[in-house]
Amino acid sequence: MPSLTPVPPEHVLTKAFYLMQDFPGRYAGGTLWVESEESASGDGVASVIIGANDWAAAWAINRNGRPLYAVTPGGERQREMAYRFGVNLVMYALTGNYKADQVHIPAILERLGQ
Amino acid sequence: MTSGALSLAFDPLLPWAVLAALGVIALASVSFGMWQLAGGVWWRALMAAALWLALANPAVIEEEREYLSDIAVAVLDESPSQRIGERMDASTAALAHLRQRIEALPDTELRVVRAGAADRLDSDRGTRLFNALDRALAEIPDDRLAGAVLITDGQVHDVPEKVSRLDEGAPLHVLRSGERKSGDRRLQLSDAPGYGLVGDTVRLKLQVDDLPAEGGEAAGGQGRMASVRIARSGEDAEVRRIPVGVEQELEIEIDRRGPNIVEIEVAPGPEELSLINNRAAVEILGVRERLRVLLVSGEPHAGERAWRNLLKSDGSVDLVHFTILRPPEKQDGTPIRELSLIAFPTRELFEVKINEFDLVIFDRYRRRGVLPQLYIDNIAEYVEDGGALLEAVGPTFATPLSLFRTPLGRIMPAEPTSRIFEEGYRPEVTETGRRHPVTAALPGEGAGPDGTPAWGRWFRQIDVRARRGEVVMTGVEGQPLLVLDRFGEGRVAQLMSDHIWLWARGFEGGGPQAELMRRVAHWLMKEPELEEDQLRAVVSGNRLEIEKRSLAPIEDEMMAEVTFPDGQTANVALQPGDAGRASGGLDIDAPGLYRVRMGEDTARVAAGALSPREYADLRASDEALSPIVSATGGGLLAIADMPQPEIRKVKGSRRAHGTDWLGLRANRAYLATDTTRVPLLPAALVLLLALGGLGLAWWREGR
Repeated sequence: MPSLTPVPPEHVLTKAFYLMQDFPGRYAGGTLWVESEESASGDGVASVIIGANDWAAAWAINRNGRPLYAVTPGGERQREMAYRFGVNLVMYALTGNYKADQVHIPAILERLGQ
Repeated sequence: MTSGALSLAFDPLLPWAVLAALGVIALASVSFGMWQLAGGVWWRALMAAALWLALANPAVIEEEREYLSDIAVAVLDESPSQRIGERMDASTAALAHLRQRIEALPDTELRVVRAGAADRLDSDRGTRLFNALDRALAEIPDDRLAGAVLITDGQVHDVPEKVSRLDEGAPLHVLRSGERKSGDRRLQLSDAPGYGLVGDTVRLKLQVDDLPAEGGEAAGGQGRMASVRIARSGEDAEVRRIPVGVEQELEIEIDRRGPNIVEIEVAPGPEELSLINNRAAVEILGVRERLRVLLVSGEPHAGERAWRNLLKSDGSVDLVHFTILRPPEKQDGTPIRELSLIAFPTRELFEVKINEFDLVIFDRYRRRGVLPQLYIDNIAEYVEDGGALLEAVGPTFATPLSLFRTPLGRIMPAEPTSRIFEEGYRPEVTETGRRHPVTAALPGEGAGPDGTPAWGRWFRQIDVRARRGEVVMTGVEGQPLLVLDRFGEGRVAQLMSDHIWLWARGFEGGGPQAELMRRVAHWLMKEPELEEDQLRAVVSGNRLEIEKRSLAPIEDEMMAEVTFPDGQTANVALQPGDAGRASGGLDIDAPGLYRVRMGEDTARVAAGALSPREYADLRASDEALSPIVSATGGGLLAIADMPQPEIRKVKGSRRAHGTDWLGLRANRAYLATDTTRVPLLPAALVLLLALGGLGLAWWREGR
């Protein structure tokens, strides 16, 4: 196992598609762990993400499209945030640190103008 | 030659001290006898002397001697400056004369050393004769050294303060080739950098000097103007008038990666020995500071991170990545402040600054209403003006939403047939691809069973028809998979699958994804190393290597014509090798610009130093050598004035040169081969003298 660290506030998982700082699933408040960035190569994408919020249970629906499990503490907002986390996770898996690049784009554009 | 020599030697039977004591006693007793006026004292003295001499044992020694020959060294200057005019012919004639004269002298031999040819072109140490002379002298014993003769034009760059072996009477002579009375114009370059950033300007200094003939005008053409021709490969020459004797600055724009060669030539001056130092060539390696890559991904997909890993792992790449995370038609009610989507600076990228990019990659892009037609048009123009485009297509390339159905279609070499293969296949390198630097000797090619590639399969291919360009890889049913093409000034590559990431992931062992994409990208950016059809010339050490690469198979030996810096030409045979290459080479020893021509193709390469020391001053001159020549008592004769000087042997410290002759020291060193010893006092004679003396003394005393 690579060394893990709690998701830092500026991590790409917080902005891959939706902006979010918490990552609730069926449960809320657990810490989300990712591989620390210095151990990754190339684009620097974490190969492991670990959390105890049971996101799959929050996403699970029955044949009629109704959620299978209630979320705690609860509310439609929490389920929506669980879905959003899912979207961010897939975006992170597909596009890597793409969103982190965008901070550098103004600087690169400025260099291009020279 | 042998001869005899006589000498007297004593070989006493008793130590000299005892003999001396005996002599003193004998002398004392004889003196006492004389003082007493004793009779017979003379006979006693005779007896004592005979006995004493017998004990001292004198002998005559005759020595047989063999005289050894004296050895002279001749050093022939073979440096490039000796090739001017008649210098070399005159020098070899002088050497032949010297050899013949020395052979005619008794007990004298000549050792000839050829020196001065540059040992390494890049060392720029000029003509070095004394090195070679020292080595030759080290093999000659002191008592046999007769002297040394340098045959040179006088441009020697390693003249020492003194040559210890030539100090003790063995003279150093110079036979100088070349006319003294000629000036020469030279061009000198300095401060040229070895490399420059592409797009930047580098500066170097140049100076034209008119070196006067000895005894001619003192100031070298001050106030005169000279026209200088500056030519870059593939461009018209520019002619400038510059003042003679004043350092000028020249600006050169680096406009390509790899070697940028600039040839500079000054028109002949009023006096010229040779035009070889009127030309110079500078080679400046063009390098890119950073590679600017624009990656446009049409949608998030599994292969996107393979692109990012590849481009991000190279620290010199500035990556601007543009992914369409949410197409415009998929709007929902989410408040914008909860979304991380930001408007991309598309106008700036695709309109204002598109030409600043070195490479544009479209990765599974399709028409989508995000990029207006105008921007797509800009990219087509960017390629036409010298840009680089890589298109890695996804399934939508086969549909009406394909990029092919935009203004980019006209620059694409491959046209979709609207078929899509969704089956496993192993990408293959084509026959052409094996000769193309992008795909030649790709790691794993032909390493599998039966010569198949040892890499993993891909599972999707968009079927196309290649209208133009080179198909270097194929997939399903031998249909084109990777097509390379030139369009206008620029280049286009199309990869007909979005599955190359399977290689990066190591699926079924993976494949050379990074290597292939690196080569494709660098070929698109016109890296000279990856040119598929080119003639290349490089100098390594003292060898000019020529390589011809071609996409067409090379089966026969090819001939290339090489033009040397001095304008002479030679033909070099290139032997066909594998992967569409033929190569050959030849040994070179003169610095300067070499041109290689093969039909339409030309290549140029600059060898050695920018302004070689060897060519800095071509005038034949006595200046450098005369101090050391006079220090050793030698003579300096110009071959032109005195082509056949007399060679004499001189003894000891007598004068060793004149206006028409050169002297070599006669050492008369010898080896003693035999000695004969003749005793001067045979035993019988001693006995007779001693007994006779004794008897007579007794007789005299008895009277």
